[in-house]
Amino acid sequence: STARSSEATGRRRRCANGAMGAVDAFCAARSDLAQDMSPPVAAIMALTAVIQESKAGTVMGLGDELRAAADELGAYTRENAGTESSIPVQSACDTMIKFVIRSSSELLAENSFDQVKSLLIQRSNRFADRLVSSRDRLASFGHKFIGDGKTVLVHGYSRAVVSVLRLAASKGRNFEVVVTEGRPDCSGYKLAQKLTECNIPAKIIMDTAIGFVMERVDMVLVGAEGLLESGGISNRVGTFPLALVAKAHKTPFYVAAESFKFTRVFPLSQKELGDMDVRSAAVKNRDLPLPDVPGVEAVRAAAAATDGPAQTLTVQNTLSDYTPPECITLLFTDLGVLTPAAVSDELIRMYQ
Amino acid sequence: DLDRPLKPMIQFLIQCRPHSITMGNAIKHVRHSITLLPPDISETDAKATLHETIDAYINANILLAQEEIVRHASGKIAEGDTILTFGRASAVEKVLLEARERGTFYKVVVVSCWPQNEGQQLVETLAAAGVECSFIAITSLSYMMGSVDKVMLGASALFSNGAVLGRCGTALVAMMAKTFNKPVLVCAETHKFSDRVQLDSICSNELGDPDRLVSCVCTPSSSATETGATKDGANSSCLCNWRSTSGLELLNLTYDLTPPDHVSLVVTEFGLLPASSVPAIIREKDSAAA
Repeated sequence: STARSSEATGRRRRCANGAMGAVDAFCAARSDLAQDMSPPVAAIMALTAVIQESKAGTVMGLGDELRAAADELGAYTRENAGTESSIPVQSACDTMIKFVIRSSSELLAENSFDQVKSLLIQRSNRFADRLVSSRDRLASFGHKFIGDGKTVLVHGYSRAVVSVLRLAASKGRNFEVVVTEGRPDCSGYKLAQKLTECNIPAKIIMDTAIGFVMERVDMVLVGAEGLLESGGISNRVGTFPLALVAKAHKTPFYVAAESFKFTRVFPLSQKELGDMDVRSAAVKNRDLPLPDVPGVEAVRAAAAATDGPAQTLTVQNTLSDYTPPECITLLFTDLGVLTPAAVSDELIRMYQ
Repeated sequence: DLDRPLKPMIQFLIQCRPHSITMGNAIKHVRHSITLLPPDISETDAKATLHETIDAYINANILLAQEEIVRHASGKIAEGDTILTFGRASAVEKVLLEARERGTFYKVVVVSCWPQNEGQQLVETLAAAGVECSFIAITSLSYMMGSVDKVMLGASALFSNGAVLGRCGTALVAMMAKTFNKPVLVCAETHKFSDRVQLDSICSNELGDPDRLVSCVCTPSSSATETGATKDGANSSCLCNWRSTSGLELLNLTYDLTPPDHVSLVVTEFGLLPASSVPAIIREKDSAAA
């Protein structure tokens, strides 16, 4: 956790050094801790600010400015987001730019470009509001699945999952949540703390104990970094084995994710998803923190040896894995409760 | 009233070749454009408009669509991959050649498609382009499938439930790939999509020439000149005279049906889709055309 807070201050320091407009607006939106804005929503706010300040005179010019701003935001989040995936920010920016261009073409028929710009700002603000409320709408669809007296298994730290559980608890339902530790960054502890604040009983288990607890669990609920074209998801590593164990036990596996996480990516294997991951090399190649246990000296020695024969002792860190659609029961999104097959249908509708 | 004289012509086309899904879609498109013609248009203008519509259909749905498929699918061929394909689908052939152009190093295993033997032509084309390829009979599928990375297939039609109508043998290849957990990519232009649903290979199929099944043992000069002919001679004459043998029927089916859960991914000009999205594409195309 100390690593994370110094990252956050580093982020704010870089913002203060006067980066470009979009990144400034992004940081400002993010540092509003009361809203607990997720990066994609902050990105939309930043793009709205870009439209406001834009001096472009044509739709094409505006589109170019927005695309440049989106690229800056993408690069910024890749370098600074730590282990959080930058897919949601990119998808949100893509959706927003598509929305702006489509709206502009419609509006230009009746209005001058300046009028179009002010109308666009209105619509973008409404779009941003819709995105901010998307987590609440998602929760309103998903909370009904958390029944009274049930046990829910959760993996990974997802604000969407927290909102579903929080809403279910507020409706007076009593349920228990089993939380995986989430090594090496142990985000499960942060999630358990959030649940305790909502008076939801939480039990933290080892990541490797999911097979052991599955028979006592009624459903599994995870978030997603990306909702993929195949109907599968990319999420924090460990989601795929969890989904397989749930499938073997015929336990429902639910995913809570906002619709702006839709991405037109169709991996055929875990390796393909890893290759598509555009997080910075520094993040991807970040070493697994080595525990202080017997045997670790051999790993340190192997890492330190620069010449000599190729090392036979290596350590691999993995950030995300791909869960195929066959393992997913339902997805709770702000568009409603969808089957994995419906994800592609939605994407086709959005991108046609 | 151009539609009325068209009907006997369409009948004639169907007599030349049994009515296929893609034929049906094209004919439907032409008849629809006829109904869209304004009633006061002159004959020459009407003909010119129809010519344009037909050319646009061919260009967009057949030629350009294939180029788009090549663009999307060639990105799925990774360095060092072994790709398995069945017979010779023109879309797959173009994808493989494009990947070779891009400089990706990969290998191809071509499964022979009997009795059309189109796979042989594909091997010749690939070898000429410098691609490392193998040519196997379908009976060796279980032996080779373990060392393959991806399977790429063509299609004649895709049904609304995601099932694939392909050259007879395609379903076997897809089924074997599923058993070995290998991804199956089907390359199909959207004009091959149909809103029909088909559940098995038998309910609607085409019969090919049954004599082609025995053409390897029944060449005109077979009886006397082949080595080891005495024992074979007895067998081949039975097959050569199959028509006069009672109780013996030869069945040469042209197509078979691959169920949707054996298909990992469909490559269309609109991009990469799961097989379950076929109805969504049909819906989008219909609403765009309306």
